[in-house]
Amino acid sequence: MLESFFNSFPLLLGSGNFLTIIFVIALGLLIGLFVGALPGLTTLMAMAIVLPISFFMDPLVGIPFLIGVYKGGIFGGSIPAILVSLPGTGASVATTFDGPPLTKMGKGRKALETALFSSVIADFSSDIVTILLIGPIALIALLIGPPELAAILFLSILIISSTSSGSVGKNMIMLAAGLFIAMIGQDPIAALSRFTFDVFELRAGVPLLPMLIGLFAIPEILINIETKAKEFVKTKLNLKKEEKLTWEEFLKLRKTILRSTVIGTTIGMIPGVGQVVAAFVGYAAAKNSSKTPEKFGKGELEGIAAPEAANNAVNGPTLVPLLTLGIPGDNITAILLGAFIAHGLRPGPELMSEQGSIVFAILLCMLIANILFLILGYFTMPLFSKVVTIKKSYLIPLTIIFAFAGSFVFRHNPADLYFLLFFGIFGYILKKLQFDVTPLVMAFILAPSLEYAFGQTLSLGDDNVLMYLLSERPIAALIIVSTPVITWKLFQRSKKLRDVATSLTSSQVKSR
Amino acid sequence: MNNLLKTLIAILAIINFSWIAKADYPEKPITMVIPFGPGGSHDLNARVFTSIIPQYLGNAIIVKLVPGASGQTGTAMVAQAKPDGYTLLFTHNYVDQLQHHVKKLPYKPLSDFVTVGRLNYAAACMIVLSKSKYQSVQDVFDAAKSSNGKLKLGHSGMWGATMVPMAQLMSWGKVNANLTPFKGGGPMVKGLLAGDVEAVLHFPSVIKGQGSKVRTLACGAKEKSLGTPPTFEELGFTGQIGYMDRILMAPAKTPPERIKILQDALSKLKDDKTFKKFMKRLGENMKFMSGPDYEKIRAEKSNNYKSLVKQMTKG
Amino acid sequence: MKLINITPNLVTSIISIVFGIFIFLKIPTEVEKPLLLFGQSSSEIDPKIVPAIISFMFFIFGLYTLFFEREDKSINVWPSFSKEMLLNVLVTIIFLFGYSLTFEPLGFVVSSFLLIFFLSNYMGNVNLKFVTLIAFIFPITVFFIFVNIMHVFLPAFPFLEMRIGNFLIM
Repeated sequence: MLESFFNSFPLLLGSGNFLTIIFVIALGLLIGLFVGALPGLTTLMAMAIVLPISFFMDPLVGIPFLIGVYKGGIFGGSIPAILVSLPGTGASVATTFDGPPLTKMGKGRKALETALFSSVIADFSSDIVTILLIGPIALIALLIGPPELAAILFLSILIISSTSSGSVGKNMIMLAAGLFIAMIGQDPIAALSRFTFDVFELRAGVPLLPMLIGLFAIPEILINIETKAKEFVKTKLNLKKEEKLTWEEFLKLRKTILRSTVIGTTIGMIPGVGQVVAAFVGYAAAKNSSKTPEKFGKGELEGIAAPEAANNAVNGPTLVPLLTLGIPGDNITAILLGAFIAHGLRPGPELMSEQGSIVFAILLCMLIANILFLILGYFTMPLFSKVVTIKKSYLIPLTIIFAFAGSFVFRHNPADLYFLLFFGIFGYILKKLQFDVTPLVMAFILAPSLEYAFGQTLSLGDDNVLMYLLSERPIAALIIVSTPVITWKLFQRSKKLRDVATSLTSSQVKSR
Repeated sequence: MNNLLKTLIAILAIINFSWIAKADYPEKPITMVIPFGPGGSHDLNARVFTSIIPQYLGNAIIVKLVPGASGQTGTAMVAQAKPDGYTLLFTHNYVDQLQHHVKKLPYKPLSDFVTVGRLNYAAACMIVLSKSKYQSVQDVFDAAKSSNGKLKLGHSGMWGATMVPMAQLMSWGKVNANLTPFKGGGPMVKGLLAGDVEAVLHFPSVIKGQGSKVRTLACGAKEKSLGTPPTFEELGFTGQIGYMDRILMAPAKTPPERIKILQDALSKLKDDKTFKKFMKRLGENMKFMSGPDYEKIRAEKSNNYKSLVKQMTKG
Repeated sequence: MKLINITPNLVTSIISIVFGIFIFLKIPTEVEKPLLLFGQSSSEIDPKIVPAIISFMFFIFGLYTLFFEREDKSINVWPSFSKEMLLNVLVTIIFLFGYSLTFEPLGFVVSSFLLIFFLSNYMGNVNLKFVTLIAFIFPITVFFIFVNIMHVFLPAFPFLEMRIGNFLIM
């Protein structure tokens, strides 16, 4: 394998194509960035459209093109999340906690740049880890089966719920609500309808993107409309001297970025967990380790760096099952698989042994994509951040148009607009009553996978699941045993935080 | 104000008001709904198909992915669409001919849709790990019997393309086994590689990628690329098994002339060199069947599935 | 006459408890029964279990909130609303509802035009001509990008087809 690695360099540089490859990656990044920044247009869509074009290119040109679109798109979704609280995907939801407050303080550009640097550094690091450890990562992928996945997902939901702000009872009610909403529709294994009240539109369940946009973007919009203030951004700014990220501020973030990179890379190695969990766990971990956790959610740069780094660090290892075993982990890797196949390359054990240098060449292109993205991003971020300086009376209706268009094109189902509206009003009420919707969103996103993995485990364990776990799946057993311990510790820590918060509030009240 | 008016009129003059219906079909792009999620084999086949068909059809076909409810959401959307030939459905035989025997649907697949053509089919093969002890399908059956029905087999979705043939085999071999579901072909193969399950059914295009790690025991059709393992028919199974037909459907009330135009384009497409090249790369065959021919066997297949379901669910 | 302090947590907990009971009662009618496969249930987890667990969670955590957090001081206050705020929010919700209703019948461009025009004017502080221009240009641009470039679908103007060449623009 080492030989393949070293052979990949001449393959990449030697072919007359190198400049074309660079150009094509940059083009892909820009396309992905702009598509990702338009709410409702997903990276997946962009890749699917570009896919046939890449068919007619050389494999070492076509596939890096798709990878460029992929990386650009993943970051692109963070832009509307930070600027107008419009999450493009589940992964950008965690960015809507601290992004919009920063934007309203006039620090939009700072937030965008934080997101950019965190994302690129984490992505780059995890790509290097992927290249170095591609073999072991493939082995880990095989070790994680349904029981392990179920245990990990269950633990993740608990971790994220117990580190949410607010009272335990309210968080758990939110968790239950998320599970309920996820349950509506067909069950993931046998496709039996549950709680659809004979409404056909509910048979496919509650759609993810309209719900996310409803829960996060609409309340922001409504709150902004409450007061017909002129400017979206509160302070008066001199546009030319808009606040950039300073070197000192960046240095303060390095621990968070490192921690999130480790979290994201680890989660990336576990097939089936994904970016969303990484983002939320990264956020929860940063909040937990911070000395000033009450600042999270109010405009804390760490609150941007943490989820952004984590969700990008997932990218590298996610490709490993595809490249080494020929198994796509999610829809995006499935499109990459299609691209490989259309070029006559069959990812899998055969490709690694016979044409391993191509695989490494593509991984190297991922590194190049990161570097290019840093440069491209640095010049385009200021453009994006200027968007929110237009008058509120224009910005709000235009944001609404995007929210609706984005929700509609998710499934091309007009009923989704009503889902959007319903969750918008619901989210507004929850926000006003100071509920943290994180447990709801997490439960909604993870419940189907958890239920599926759990069902698979029951099937594999046949009559005696307990024996099965203990005898054949030690990893899962270990995780299950440590879950209560971890949860209890987190619960204690968050209780301490809340007591601090309560004493702060009551002392504030007293001093009035 | 006057200037504004003039500009507006100029703009409107450029816009093509086409409420006078043109004679040629298709005069605008056609929508092809795929009732599955992105990245699957249908998606890939569709992308190849739609990138080449414009030259034969005179206009583009645009893929619209509408996943949900095991294909019901997308199928319902086409069933309710205007039958003017601008909305088509790209689906497979299990959704079209079997699903209505196991689920209450808001449409009747056999009467609400008519076949434009079958693009190709894929025939599933049974695979096991090369390092396992199974050398033939009979070995698997024996293992199922001796383990008292606890042998672990995998599939990629209830009533789907890899589950139905597996159930058919089990019922033919008169064995019981433990069927574990996986979320799609990829996880299913991973389950096999990890040893979570002992055998699965999958399609040759994917099996080839695993190289020497898996052993193919038998296939639904002759597969030269996999070393021509025995077919299920040769082993004694009567009837077609494991065939996933990729079929293009149109709402039943679509004007027949328009369906004919589509069918002509399809039959020209199948001889296109680039198309053949890409399909070969995808590992798919080119076993095209015309709409009318497929219609002839469609009702019969549905009846076969009906008796199969009855047999499998009688408890 | 204020015997009970009606805090948000109190209301939440009661809703939670009631909802939990509601789900539980609805299980028999709302959960499809699995088909038998070879004599065994084709569903690994009994389909009634998940709703049962969820109803239990609502019930228990509702009770928990009721007993332990009813009087919680930290974030348990009713939000304050001025009449102006309430009015703005309600009007906006009505606009959004109207937008949803007209999205398909009138097409994306027309309904978006109406929304931008009316909402921007309502929010005030706008130049009428400029708003009309933006309300026209912006939806058409979004429509063009989404439909012709990204090949996704937004509802077109249903009464006549507006095209430039082969491109749908409205």
